[in-house]
Amino acid sequence: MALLDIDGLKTYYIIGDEEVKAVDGVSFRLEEGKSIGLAGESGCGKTTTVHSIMRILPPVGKIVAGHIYLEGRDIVSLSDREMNEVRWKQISIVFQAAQDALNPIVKVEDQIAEPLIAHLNYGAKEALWKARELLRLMGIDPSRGSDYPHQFSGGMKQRVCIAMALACDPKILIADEPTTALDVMVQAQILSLMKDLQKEYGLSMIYVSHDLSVLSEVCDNIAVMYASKICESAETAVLHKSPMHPYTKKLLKCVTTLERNPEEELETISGAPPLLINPPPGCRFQPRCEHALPICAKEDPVIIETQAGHFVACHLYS
Amino acid sequence: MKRVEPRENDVLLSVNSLKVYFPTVTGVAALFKKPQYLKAVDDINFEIKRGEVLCLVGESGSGKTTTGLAILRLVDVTDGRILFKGENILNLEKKQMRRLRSKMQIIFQDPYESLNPRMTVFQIVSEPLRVNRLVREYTHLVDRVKTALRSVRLTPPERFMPKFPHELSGGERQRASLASALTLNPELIVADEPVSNLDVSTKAEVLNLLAKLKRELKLTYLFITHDIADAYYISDRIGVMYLGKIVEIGPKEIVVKDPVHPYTKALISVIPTPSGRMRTERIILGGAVPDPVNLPPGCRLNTRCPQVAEICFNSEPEMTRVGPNHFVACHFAKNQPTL
Repeated sequence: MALLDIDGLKTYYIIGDEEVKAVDGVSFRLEEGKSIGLAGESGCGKTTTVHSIMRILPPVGKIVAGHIYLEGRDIVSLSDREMNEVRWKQISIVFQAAQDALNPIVKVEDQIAEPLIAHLNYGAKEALWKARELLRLMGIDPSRGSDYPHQFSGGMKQRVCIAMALACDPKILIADEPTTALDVMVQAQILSLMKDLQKEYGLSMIYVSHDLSVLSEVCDNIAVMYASKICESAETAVLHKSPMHPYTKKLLKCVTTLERNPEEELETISGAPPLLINPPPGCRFQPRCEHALPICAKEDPVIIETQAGHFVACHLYS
Repeated sequence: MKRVEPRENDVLLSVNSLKVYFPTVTGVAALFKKPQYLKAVDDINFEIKRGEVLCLVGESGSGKTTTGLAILRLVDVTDGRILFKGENILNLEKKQMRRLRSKMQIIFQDPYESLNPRMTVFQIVSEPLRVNRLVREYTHLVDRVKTALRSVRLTPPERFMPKFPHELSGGERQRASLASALTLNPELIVADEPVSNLDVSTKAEVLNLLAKLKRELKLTYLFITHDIADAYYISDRIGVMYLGKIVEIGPKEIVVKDPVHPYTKALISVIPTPSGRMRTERIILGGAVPDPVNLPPGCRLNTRCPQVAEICFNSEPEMTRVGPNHFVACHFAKNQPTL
């Protein structure tokens, strides 16, 4: 049984009369000790997906359909109180620029200790001890715990946020673009840390990023999202070697890398993603797809497993 | 992007011993305290030939953005010379500088902030022409704007001219900025992280557009970015900056595939690879970046360099030529092992 099983998740933002179908039928599994990357451009629904998992949607956001099974238990239907037991203790999240979320007037170690006291009923002394151990785990000298956030660099602050997220030993860590605001060298430190956490502590991860290269460094599997749906998902190496969905293929070719020939012009994808208020029928990528068949404008393709572990939603393969 | 050799061998821009220091003690306190400076740019030299693209890369605090701003005199220069077509622009009077600004333009990173939200695209793109009173007749103005919009592929121009910035996507705003920059037929464009805030597919479009315009309009670029993969795509040469200094500068193939400076080597080695193939040696620099206001003596990388030695604490390395058009500032430049 997978650790986390998302089945047909639909999350809409209901604004007045209109529904923005931010996540419209997303399914994937996370096995224990593995990591999955949610890739896609802005507006594709990857952040809404993880906010749905954590049940931290804003008031206008609603999970209108689907299930999120955590170790077999559907957390969509949990009450707020029951969900509080899940958050931080079983699933935790680190946000983009989380460093800005740190309380500027509270010492760092006290902030890391807070979830321990609040959720696990630690005593103050034990909580501080564990907080300092967590700092050490993050590669930060534990004596820095008595400093304030403004005395830390951006990368260190992000590591403090990761320490906080891991304080209650959750099984799953969700990272939503955690390194986007950071320099390349600092990013490398954080990615290295995340890989170690996975390897040595068996941490399972969901990593959200628009940067396919970053996801390829850290994740075992990658799911590519487009206009609120998953269009393809596979093991990282397989996705790079044999991408199937036309969007994935284009995406891989329009990214600058040090490995491609710089004399070759970058591929581009003409047009723009559809508005998610009333998306047109059929495949969402169809208006921009060079391989579109007549059926693509009429019917939304269903996701199928073409090879073991390789899923794609495209009429070209059904 | 197809490489085009610089058409003429002449140097369009030459930067000599450029220093931009920001005082950190200002106001009344300056009367009592000893002056301290943030040495944002600390004695850098480089040239850009006509038709070339030079990329300045570096992490935050490297001084690359300040360099770009200094070239357009958008910040005060503390010392050094900036020669545009042989003329030191730092000596120019306001009136002469204004004439020159049409030849040197800048596009910024944030397409959401660099356009006046109360002006239409037509007003934004035509502003340089109107302000400089270069076009008298309204119909001619409209023609110039349409031409500019077509060249950045905001077509049909009539559709975009009445729009306000908030009605445009990020990519469209960047194109509008470009169109505005191009109306005065500049020779040099300083682009400060022009694609960093854009989605992957939009980024590709804008990069391709920049490359196309360079070829068609015979432009020269100083392209500032933290993204070395972008630099590798668009540049002819790459200059790597660290804490206000250029540590390595040379043809892009060499800087990326065979870097000499320890910092460049580390930087290149930690860039995530899409194929997920682990590079055999990722050099993740630990240690702390020195306080830019109180720089320690010697080489600025001495707190973090994997090859640091005693000399690195005593003296700053000079720029040494290590190959054709390839310069490195490191005490061990000549005896660096290749990657």
